[in-house]
Amino acid sequence: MAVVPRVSAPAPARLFGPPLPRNQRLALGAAGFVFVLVAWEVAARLGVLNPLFFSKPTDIVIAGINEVQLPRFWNDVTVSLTEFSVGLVLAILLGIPIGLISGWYPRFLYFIDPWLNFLNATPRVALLPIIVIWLGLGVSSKIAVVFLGAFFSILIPTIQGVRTVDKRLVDVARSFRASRRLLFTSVILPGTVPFIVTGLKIGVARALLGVVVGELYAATSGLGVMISKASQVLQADRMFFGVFIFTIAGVLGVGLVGRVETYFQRWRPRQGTR
Amino acid sequence: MTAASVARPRRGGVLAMLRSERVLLGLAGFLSVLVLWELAVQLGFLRRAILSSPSLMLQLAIRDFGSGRLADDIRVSLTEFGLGYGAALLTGIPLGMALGFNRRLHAFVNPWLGAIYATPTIALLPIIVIFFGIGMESKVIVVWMEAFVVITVSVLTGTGSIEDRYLNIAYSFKASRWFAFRTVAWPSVIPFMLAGARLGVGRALVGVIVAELLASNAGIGYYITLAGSTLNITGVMLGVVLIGLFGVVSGEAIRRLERRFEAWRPEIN
Repeated sequence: MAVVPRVSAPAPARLFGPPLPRNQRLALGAAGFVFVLVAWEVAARLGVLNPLFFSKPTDIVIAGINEVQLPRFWNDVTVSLTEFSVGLVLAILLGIPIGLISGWYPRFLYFIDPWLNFLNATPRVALLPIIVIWLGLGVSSKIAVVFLGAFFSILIPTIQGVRTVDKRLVDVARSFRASRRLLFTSVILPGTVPFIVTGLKIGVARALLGVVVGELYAATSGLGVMISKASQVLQADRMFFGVFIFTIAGVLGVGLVGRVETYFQRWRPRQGTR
Repeated sequence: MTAASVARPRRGGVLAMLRSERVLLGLAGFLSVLVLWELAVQLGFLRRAILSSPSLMLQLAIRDFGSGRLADDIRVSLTEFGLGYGAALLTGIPLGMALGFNRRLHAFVNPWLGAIYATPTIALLPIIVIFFGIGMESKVIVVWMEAFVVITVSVLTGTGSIEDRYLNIAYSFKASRWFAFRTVAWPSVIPFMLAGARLGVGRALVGVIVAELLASNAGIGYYITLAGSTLNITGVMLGVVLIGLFGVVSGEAIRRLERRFEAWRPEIN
C-alpha cells in the first residue's frame, strides 16, 4: 500500500483541493467583487473601455443618486413592479390549480399535451407583436407577456410533480382506504410542493424577462423604457443603473422563493446525505 | 413482424393500449383546437383580422416559402443562433469546469457570477445594438451572452456532483489523475452539461428573437416585426409557429441526447 500513499488522503484533495474555510471564501469573494469594479474604473479612465458605451462604476453611482431623486424614476419603478407582480400572481393563481388538475386526470393531460409542449417550447416573448396589437402599448400588454412567461414555467413542473409522486405512498394511502380527496390533500399535494417551488423559481426569472423585453419592445413608461431611452442618447451610466435595478429584483425574487421553499419544507425530516 | 400483429396493436397489452390512448387523445386535442379555430373564424365568431386562421397561415407559408423569402430569414436566424450558441458552449463548458476544479477561482468570481445569473441580461440589448450595429454581430453577441451563463453554471453544478467515493475507488486501484477524471468525473458532469445545453437553447432562442424584434434587417424576428407593423396577424402567427417548431425540435434533440447518456446508468428504485 505504501506505493499509493494518496489513497489515505481524501480524494477531493486531489481533484478539487480541500474546501475553503468560510472566511477565506468570503474574503476571496469580496476581493473578486472589488477587483472587477476597480479594473472597470481604471480601464474606463485609461480609455481601454470606451466610457461612452461601458460607462464606469463611479458614474453609475452618481447617475443612480440623481435618478432616485426624480419622480419619473419612481413612476417607472411602480409601472414595472405592477406589471411584474400582477402578471406573476395571475400565473401562480392559474398555473398551480390547472397543473394539479392536469396531473391528476391523465386523459385531460394527454388531450392538451401537444399544445402545452408547443407553447412551452416557443419563447413567449415572440408573441409580443401580437399582444401589442391586441392590447396596446399600456400596462396590460406587459402583464400579458409576464403572465404567459411565468404561467407555463409554473404549470409544467406542477404537472410533473403530481405525476411523479412516490407510488409507494399512494399505495399505502389506498390500502388504508383513503378517499380520493384525502389521497389528494395528504399525499399528492405535499409531494408536489417541491416541484411547484421549482416552477416558481423559473417563473420569477421568466416574469422578469417578460417585463424587460415587453418594455424594451413597446411601452411608454417603466424601467425598460428608461434603459432603452438612456442607451439611445448614450447615457450608459443611467442605462447600467437601470440594469442594476433588475439585478436587485432578480436576486430578491429568487431569495423570496427560497424563503417560501424553507417555509413549506419545514415539516420534512432532515434527510442526512450520509 | 406479421401483418396481423401490426394490424392489432392492442396485442401488446395494457401498456400498448395506454400508449395508443395517449397518442390518440393527443392527436384529438391537437386537431380539435385547429378545427375549432378555423370554424370559429369561418363562421364569423372570431375576427379574421385579429386572430387569423390555420388555413390562412398555411396559404401564407406556401407563398413565402415558395418565394424563398422565409427561407432567407430562417437562414439568417439559424446562423446567428448557431454562431452565438456554439461560442457559448465553447466558452461556458471550459469555464464551468475551471471554476468547479479551482475553489479559489470559484470563490473569487462567485459574487459577479451570481449577480449576472440573476439579471435578465437581455436588458443590455439596446447598448449592444448601438455598439455592434443592427446586423448579425449584435445578435451573435446577445445569443452568446444569454446562453453562456446558464451553461457555465450548469457545468459548475455538475462538477459538484462528482462523488468522492467513486474517486476513492479509482485511486485505490491506482488510477492516474487523468484516468480518474475521464472515467469518474467527466461522466458525472455530462448530464448537467446537457441540462445546461438544453436551458441554453431556450435562452439563446429568446436572445435571437428579441434582438431581431428590436433592431434588425433580416431574420425570422424581422419577418414578425414587418408583419406586425402592417397589422398582418397571419404573418406574425406564422413566424411564431416556426419559432415554436424550432424550439420543439431542438429541445427534443437534446432530450434524446440526455437519454442516451443516461442509458448506462442503472435504474434507481
